[in-house]
Amino acid sequence: MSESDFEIIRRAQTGDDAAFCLLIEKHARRVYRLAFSFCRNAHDAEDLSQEVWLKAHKSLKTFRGEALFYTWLRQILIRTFLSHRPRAETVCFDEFLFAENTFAEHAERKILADKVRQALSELAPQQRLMFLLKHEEGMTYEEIAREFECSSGTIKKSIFRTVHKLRQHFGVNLTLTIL
Amino acid sequence: MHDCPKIQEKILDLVLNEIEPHEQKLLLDEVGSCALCRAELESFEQTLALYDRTAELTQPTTAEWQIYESNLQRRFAGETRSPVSFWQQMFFGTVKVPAPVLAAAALFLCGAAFFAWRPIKSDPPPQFNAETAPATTSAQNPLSILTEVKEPAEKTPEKQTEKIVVREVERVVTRKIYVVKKPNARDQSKTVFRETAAEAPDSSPLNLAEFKPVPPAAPTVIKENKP
Repeated sequence: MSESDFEIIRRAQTGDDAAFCLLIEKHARRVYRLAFSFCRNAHDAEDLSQEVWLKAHKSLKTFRGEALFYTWLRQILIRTFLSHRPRAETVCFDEFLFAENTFAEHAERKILADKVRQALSELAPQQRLMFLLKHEEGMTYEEIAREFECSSGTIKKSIFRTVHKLRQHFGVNLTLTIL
Repeated sequence: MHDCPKIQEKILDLVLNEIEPHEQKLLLDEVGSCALCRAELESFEQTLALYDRTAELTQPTTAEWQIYESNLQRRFAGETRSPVSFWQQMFFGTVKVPAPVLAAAALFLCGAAFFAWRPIKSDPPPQFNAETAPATTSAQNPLSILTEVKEPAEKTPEKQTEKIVVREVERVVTRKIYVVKKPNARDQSKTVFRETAAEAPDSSPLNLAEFKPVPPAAPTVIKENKP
């Protein structure tokens, strides 16, 4: 942890809200991206990320600085994500598809987004989160297994199933290339 | 010897960087030597690349990020106001109460205030008039033991009247007490209270041998004239 991070966290722990806002600025996008990938809905993602930050603020005094701040925050994030209930059954993945794009680009993105949504919606929240933590957060199987309190073999199988499902939905075929 | 199922098990680990660097080269050599394994590797890479592209395309714009961050900070600032002291919270703090509970509490308070402050009417006790009061009998009056008894005029040197209000039946009855003063000095101070039954004939002489003490009715004496 850099000295500046440590100093910001120490100030935030003493009740300095401005310091905590600095922490938010630093990590908010990462938390939001993960929340959005997890729930596939902009409103839910916003609620979820805000909940993560509020929980982090409440339990900030328990942070002892033994790990990186984001590592500590990620533990809160995982617990919050798994206890989260979406506000509606309908999910909307293409809310951030930009209006200034051409029709062809828009259509391509929409198709891709639908495929990802379909693939991920067929997975259990835990399975989805395992894949996101591996692929987007770059955590190792052991780290994820520690968070979920299961074996790394279970994590590996779960991620394999997720990638396999995504492959099916994307329609990626095995193309044999002859040397 | 190339073992496709075994190699393919490790392909995803290779794509997800779960293979040690020294194993990676060996595995890549193995995969390169088999078309099927190479196809498997490419399909995994392609799948994850498509996923990444989708995630990239669906990210918010810079303007949307700014809105999101300002929303987050505003909400956060609202949730974490400066802590107020206990007394400030006691006197100026707001408590969320459900509307029905609040309405019921307000009704209760209004009712309590009405009953507490309403004027209490204190009716004066009715004055008993011996001349105008109707004569009561034991059949009419259940409290016949306390009914008026008239004694011969010659035997009543002093007459006392007291009002007894029996609260239970809200009825005012009058008891006349005759004090018989005998000429004997020893018995001069002796006072006899007599409360007879109504059926006793008025003209019968006073028989003190049959005197019985008044049962403990515990009436409330409001006013008493002492000799």
